[in-house]
Amino acid sequence: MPLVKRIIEPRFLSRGSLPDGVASELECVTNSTLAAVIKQLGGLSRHAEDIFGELFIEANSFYLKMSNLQERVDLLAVKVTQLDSNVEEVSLQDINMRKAFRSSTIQDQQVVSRSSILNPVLMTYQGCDKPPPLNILTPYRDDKKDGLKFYTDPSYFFILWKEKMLQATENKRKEKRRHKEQKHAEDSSGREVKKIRKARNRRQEWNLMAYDKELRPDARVTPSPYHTSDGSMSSDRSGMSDDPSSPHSTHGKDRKDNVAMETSSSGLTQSLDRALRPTSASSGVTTATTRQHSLGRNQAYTQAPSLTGSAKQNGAQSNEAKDLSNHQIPPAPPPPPLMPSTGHTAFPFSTTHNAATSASLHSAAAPGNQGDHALSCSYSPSHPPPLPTTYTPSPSCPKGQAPPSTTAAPPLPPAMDNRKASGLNVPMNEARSDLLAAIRRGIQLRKVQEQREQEEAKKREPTGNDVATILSRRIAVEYSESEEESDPEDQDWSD
Amino acid sequence: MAGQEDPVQREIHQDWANREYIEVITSSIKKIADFLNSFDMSCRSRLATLNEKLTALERRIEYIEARVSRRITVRCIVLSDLINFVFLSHGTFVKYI
Repeated sequence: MPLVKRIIEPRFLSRGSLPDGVASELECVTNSTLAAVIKQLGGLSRHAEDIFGELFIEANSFYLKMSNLQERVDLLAVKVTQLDSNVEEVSLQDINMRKAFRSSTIQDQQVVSRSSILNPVLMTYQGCDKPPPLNILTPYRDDKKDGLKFYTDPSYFFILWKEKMLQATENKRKEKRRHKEQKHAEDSSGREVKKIRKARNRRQEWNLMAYDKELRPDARVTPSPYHTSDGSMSSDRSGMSDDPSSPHSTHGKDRKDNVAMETSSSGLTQSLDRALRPTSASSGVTTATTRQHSLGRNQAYTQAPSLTGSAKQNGAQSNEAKDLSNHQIPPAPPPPPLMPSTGHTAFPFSTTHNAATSASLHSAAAPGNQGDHALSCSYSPSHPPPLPTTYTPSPSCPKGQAPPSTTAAPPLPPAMDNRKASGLNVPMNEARSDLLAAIRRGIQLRKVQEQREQEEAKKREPTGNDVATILSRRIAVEYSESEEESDPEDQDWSD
Repeated sequence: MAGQEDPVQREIHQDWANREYIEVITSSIKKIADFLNSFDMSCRSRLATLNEKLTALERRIEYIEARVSRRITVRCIVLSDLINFVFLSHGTFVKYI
């Protein structure tokens, strides 16, 4: 039923009782009818003013927007006339290193809310009966809840939905973790050969990326339309040992091609992706510590499909992270196998968050962390700045197990907890001591600890109160789950 | 009889005249209300169309700003883009203002 916006009040003009003792009743009726008509005219004029006011406000906002745009156009015109292709130095490295253009995708939220109510509807609302004043009873309640919330709560449905979504995301994360644990339990037997990682591969990769495709000394044999093969370069390329990586690279490239085709915005970024894949493929074979490798790999994955190519940021951050982790990591446990061909989607800010959270990790990653933190970093594109600060939990890692790699030998996957941010070091230390004690006592106790830590993490998790953030987080978890199934990340602590 | 009729008749005639007068007024009120509603709706739809075009323009401007600031584009490409959308936008706005 549509809600009536405006009502002209005296609806029935001639209804109403006649006063007693009036001589000419017809005249009386006429006069009262005319009085009602005057009231109607008054209401009509009020509504007309309201209508024109609303239209004026809207038109005014458009006028402001248009003047703003006009200024920008003028600035652009001036800027463009100052462009001179002879003066500008456009290096090839610049073209490859530039961040791809992303238009701002701001989603409207809270469109129909109490704050955006129209004035006539507000008047009608205020004319209605008020709910009983149950909030008077609030000080006498034991559980300190607002008394009126039991009678009528405007935010009830939203809170319900939010809890359901968060629960669903948690469930998905758990399933993923269990899935990965199973995979590692299956695959933990024969992977010693491939677990060797290359150190500091990110820097080299970025250096390689700075060159154009043809000039890269390390370029793999990748059939790409942007690749003009020279005779000299082909000899270099053919000299590279590509056998273990080429199936991965081709397979990965197919998958990434699909993703790239859907999301690519320019040919430059596509060539960037193709360039990334061979470098990431090459990185998979060489030796490295667990941390850097997983870090580099995740960043390679997340960057390649995402096409943001925020190369410099990630390069800088990954370098920082690598330096940090270089100092912290003891002689590395054999790194988990690398699957460079898994292209899983990532959101533009997941890479930065990866670097941030990995920098916060104190030691070599526990199994399941690297995959999870890449997956669960979900952000709504409209809230980039607050999100890296507000989003704390990647899947928690049992950080207490980090220092003793020997004690971590027992199957860690069941003990995959949410990873807390670096700001939560103190509770983490407590958790660590608890976990050590629990390890000595047995695996059962570790599961309880995991639940407790999860609850704590959930309480601390500053979820944005937006539909957009919650939904985007959920979608990220689901989407990344579907993409990352074949990604046996570096979760093994086996020696 | 004629004496009774005249004042009563006069009164009834007067009453009919009054009612017709009131009817004219109320039908005009209804016409005004209809006009206000339809004006409101048409204005909103035009403003929404205008907003759409403004949004499209804004996106193009953002894109061009990104291109210009990166200094990758050659001058003529950017100039042609600018000329295109300024021309188009100018043409559309003239209609509505």
